[in-house]
Amino acid sequence: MIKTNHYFIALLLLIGITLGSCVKNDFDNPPSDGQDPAITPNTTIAQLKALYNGTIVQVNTDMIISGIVVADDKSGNFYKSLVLQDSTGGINIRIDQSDFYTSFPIGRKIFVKCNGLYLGAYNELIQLGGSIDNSTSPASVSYIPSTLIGNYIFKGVYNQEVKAKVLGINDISNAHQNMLIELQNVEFADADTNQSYADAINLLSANRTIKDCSGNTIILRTSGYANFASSLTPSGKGTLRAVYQVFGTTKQLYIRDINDVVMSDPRCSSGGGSGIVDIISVRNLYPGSTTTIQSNIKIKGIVISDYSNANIDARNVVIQDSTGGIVVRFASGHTFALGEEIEVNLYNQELSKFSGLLQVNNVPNANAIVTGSGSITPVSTTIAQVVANQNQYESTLVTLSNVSITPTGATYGGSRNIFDGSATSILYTRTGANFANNVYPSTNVNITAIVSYFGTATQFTMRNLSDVQ
Amino acid sequence: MKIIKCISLLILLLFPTWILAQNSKISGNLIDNESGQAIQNASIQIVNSNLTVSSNEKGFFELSNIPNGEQVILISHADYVTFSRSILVSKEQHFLGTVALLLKEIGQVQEEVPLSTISESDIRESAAIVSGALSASRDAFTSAVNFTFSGARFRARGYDGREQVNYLNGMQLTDMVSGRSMFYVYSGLNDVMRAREGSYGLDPVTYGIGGIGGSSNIDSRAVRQRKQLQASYAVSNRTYENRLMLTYGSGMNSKGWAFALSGSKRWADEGYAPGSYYDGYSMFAAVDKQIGLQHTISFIALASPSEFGKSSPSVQEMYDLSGTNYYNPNWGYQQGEKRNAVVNKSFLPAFFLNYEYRVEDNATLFASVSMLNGTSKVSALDWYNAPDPRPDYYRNLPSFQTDPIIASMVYQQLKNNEAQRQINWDQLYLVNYNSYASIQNANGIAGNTVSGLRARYIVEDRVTEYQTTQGNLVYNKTLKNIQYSAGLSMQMQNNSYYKEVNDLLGADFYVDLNQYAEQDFPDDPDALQNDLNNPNRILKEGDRFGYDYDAVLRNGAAFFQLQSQWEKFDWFAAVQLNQTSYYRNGNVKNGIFKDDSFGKSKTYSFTGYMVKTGLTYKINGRNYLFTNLANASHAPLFEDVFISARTRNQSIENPEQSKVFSVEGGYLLKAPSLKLRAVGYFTAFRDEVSTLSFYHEDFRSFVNYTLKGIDRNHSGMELAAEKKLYGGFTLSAVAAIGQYYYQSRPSATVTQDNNSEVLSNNETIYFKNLRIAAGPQQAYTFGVNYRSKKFWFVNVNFNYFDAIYINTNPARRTQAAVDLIPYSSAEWNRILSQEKVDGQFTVDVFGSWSWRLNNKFKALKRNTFVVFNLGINNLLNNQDFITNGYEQLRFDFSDRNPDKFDTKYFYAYGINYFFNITLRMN
Repeated sequence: MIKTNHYFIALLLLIGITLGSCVKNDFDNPPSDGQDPAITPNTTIAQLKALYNGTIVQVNTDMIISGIVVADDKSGNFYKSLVLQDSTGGINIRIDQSDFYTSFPIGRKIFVKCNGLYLGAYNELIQLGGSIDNSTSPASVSYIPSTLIGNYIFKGVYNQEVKAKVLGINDISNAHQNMLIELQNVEFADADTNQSYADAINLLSANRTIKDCSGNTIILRTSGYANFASSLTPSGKGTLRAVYQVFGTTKQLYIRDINDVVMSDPRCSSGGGSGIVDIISVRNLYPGSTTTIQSNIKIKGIVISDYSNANIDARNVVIQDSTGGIVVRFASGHTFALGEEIEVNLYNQELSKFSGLLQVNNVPNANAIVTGSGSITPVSTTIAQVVANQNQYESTLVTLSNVSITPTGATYGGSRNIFDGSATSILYTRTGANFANNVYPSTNVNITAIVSYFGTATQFTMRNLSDVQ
Repeated sequence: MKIIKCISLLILLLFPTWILAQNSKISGNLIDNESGQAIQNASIQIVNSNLTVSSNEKGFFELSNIPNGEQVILISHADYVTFSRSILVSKEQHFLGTVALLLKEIGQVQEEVPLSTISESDIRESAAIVSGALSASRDAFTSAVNFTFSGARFRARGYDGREQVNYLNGMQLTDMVSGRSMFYVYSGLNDVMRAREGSYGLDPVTYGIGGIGGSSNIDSRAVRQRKQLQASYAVSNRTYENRLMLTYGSGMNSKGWAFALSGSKRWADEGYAPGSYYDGYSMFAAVDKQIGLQHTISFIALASPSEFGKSSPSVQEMYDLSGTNYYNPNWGYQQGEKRNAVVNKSFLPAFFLNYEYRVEDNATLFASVSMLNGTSKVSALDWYNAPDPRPDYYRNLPSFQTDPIIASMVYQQLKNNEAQRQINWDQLYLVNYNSYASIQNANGIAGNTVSGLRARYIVEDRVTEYQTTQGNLVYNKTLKNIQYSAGLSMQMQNNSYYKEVNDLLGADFYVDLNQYAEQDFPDDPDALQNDLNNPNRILKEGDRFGYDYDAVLRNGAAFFQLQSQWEKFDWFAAVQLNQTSYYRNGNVKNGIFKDDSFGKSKTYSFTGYMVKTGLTYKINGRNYLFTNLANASHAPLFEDVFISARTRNQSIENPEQSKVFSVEGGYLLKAPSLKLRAVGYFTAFRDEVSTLSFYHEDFRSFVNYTLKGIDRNHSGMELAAEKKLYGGFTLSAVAAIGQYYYQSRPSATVTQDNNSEVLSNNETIYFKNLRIAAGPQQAYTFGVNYRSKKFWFVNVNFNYFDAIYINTNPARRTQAAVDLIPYSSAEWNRILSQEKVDGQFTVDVFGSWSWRLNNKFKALKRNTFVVFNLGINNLLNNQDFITNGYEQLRFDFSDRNPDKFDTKYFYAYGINYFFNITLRMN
């Protein structure tokens, strides 16, 4: 009996010990952050940068700036270098923390207590850092040590948008240093298309040239450590968003990641081998007298003429792209319809004027193919504007408003006077056009028409009756 | 489950058995296990009868008129551990032979007050620990080695753990992958692990051939447990703060049944090291059935599920900044609570079936089948394209700053902000909260996009699953003065290694990708896949990821041994042959090692041997001269052969066995009041191979150094003296003076887990004459023991440790490391020299008082004792005691600054105590 009792005592105690629990290890998840701290900025970035006068200066007053992060190190193109921007400018902050994007991602508002930090420049690029780096000549500012970042930089709200400032290449100035800018209608230089952004294998940075259609250029620099370094540059034209920096006198742009490059439009100009060039660049090839196009180029545009209503010579088509329009005169009649997108090979074709109107002449019909369809929105303008900028408007679609057509009550066929309040011109309709015998309205109308030229003056040609509203 | 186990045992206990009856004589001799002296006045009784005699001055006893049948003989003495044995009385005269009794107090108290301050977690980590708790010998020398010196991470003769072979109920505790003994399998079960035998050095044992450094064998069968109910409670400030333990032993009943139960709980909200904690249970159940005189069948089940937050060593700079040498980088605050990132969780239940067959009075067969299956996990932070979260990362420290003003600012910042010296858990969550991402082609399904919070930080578990089965057969027979021992053993081990997501830290998922490969192989979209068979796998908590492989190992061995005792000489000779084979089996197809990671590797097989022989010359009954020799081959370890088992099947070229030669010899004096030991030894290890892996922050990967052709010499002297004085005083003095060093220049091949590129091939490592980092190579203790006749004693030890060398980084001992540095310049020497830390002095005290309650409370029917034990280590609170350390395996090849990746040090605990109260009813 006593033994049995022992067993039970032993058993019960054992169970008691086994089931008891003493050490707690459940942890609360912390709440999320993303609120601005109770810190009031008292200085703009421009004011802070103004402290720098050519030599390193330590901020010794309680300057507080705040801004939105416009570049972080997520893609690896920026390394330990945070770019902060407010409405007055941008600044580069050097912090000794890799992968800092996990705390200071693009779009986050941050506050920087600058007292104690150093302001300097590395090859003219203004930087804010934690100490002086004497290993460069002249000395520059060095990183804020990882341990001390929390003493200077304070985190605020997320997902703040910074509108990139739209500039032309020639407009970029030192005031835009470390700011997010946007270039429109630019492209990689011919030799730099379809190239890697940088050398990802050997981890070397590379420069690529960006140019606009006027031939102005600027460098796009990419780090070999960027995760997109081995991606290929596009061959199209379009928009580039980047942070502007300098290296000495060299202006250079850094993208944050590959999404900053959107270039899918046709390229600006010739020189690209058998590539498609802008119509405006073909127009610009005309030297003043008949010439033959020597380069292997094509143009691509939307047909804005309407052969089916016969208000155009059966061999002619007018096409337009985003840069301009031109008349292509084929060797024989064609059926390219209004709204079709066609591509025309211009190699060895004649560029000439017929009674003052520029055209690519006598093009073999086989040189043109339909590649798609589209539409061109007519540009609303005035007769005076068109007359003053004939080359820009010629062979493009425009809309003239509140136009009176005289003499009153006549039919379209022939040359009619039009007046829109700015100037007079001619609305020309071929007598063979389907609507040549229709009577035009006697009230003022809006007219959509192709800008043309005859002899010494601008004239307009409608495509069909819908062009008069 | 645990409860069911206990209940089924209870049911087993209620089974009836049989009894027999007739008449006979039993005789025998009693000696002190330690001194060999006869034991007088011991009481010898037959249980459940009034037959009792006492032993005479020669230790001889004889009991007469014993009824035939199964009887239990009980031998007890105030100073000795009670001995019991069941005998089937069938003939007229039974001679029990010589029975050696264990001295009670020293043995027991040392077990009940664990003197070692080495925590369980250290034991798991260290390649080296020879567990102090294992050896059975009680002489002054082994007692010092096992207890007094263990807090200083002293390693007997500087050997690795694999040189000691340890058994538990016939199961070899060795993890074949690492060669280390898995002592933690039975942690917390001290009460039932007392019955042990063992040897030190090359001395022979009868349960196996042992190792170069010795061996031990624990017998935890129910029949070996004391008949008692015991409950104890301990408080301590070491690894755990509290320990509750309850043990019951039934003793063998008249029907041949014995059973034992033990359970304990150990816990600490915070252990000695800040941020560490402990939560461990232990349970044990054993049942024996003796069938007739000859057969004993035993079943034992035990498990010690535990969870503890670990502490890890750091650099001196962090110790100085935090103002304590016990700084622990593993923890940090989460919402104001301390959380440890490095948590070990294990559950490794073991089951044993033992069969002992007494073939004849002088011949025994012992058979054992055992199984150990379970899981051990160690957690750690993992991160993907995010800053290193470890607070003692070298870039965060003042020493990383070159500008002294900035360095002092960083210093002040860290000094004044505890939170910044620790992990910032809240920050890890905040990063994860804002890491919205979309994974394309998730889970390998084209067009499948998974969006959500992609973890940048997680807590991962590095899991090891054990599956071990062993069989062991040992036969012992004594014929006159010759004892034969022979044995066969079979070990099968299938380990699995993989990582598991433990905690997503607030994120929605993690992705099974290799960040480093993403950067390193920009042109290979496959490279970043940890498993090409399951690309872009979305991971939730509990999912496996990263590496995943099995180690499949087999070992078979046979040994034969002869021991012979003559009037003037004792000698023995033993030989063992063994066969080891293993292969790796990859369960994932790594994107970098497409052809070499998935599936089975080649199988490596090694046939090895060990021979041992020894001779003792007995000058007289007290003075002995002895010498032992051994020669053995060691199969290279799995973890050394596969250079990067985590990722691939690639192995070192032509793995070969290493050789060990060892000789020891000396003089022993065993007089009643004076004992002396003076032993010298020399051991040569030749042609070893070792693979060191370490985490490289910049490569974000494990880098593996495979060293071949390592030769080591270990030699030294072991001196001990113990003198009994009048009035209960005993003085002891022990010195272990060793010299362990490299005897060769190994060649290194360096590879990365994350890259197939071989960073360095057959590079010469200039290790020759550098010391082996094996704890103190010199250890001394002087002890005073006072034993009162009133059942208490106290022991004070004064210890000194010296010749402690820091583990050397092979990368620093290469030509490349000193390239272009002037020969023998200060800089040259700074890179190549090996650090020796200061010798240290410590004082330990322990005492015990045993109070018999029956004297006061007459109503108590059973013998009831309360025993108080107190052990205080490092009484002088020496907190500057570096017990070992290691140079980080990284080297700054650009600036050649050896301090950039500074040495990490382990410090011995300052003053620490263990106080235990035991209530025992016999």
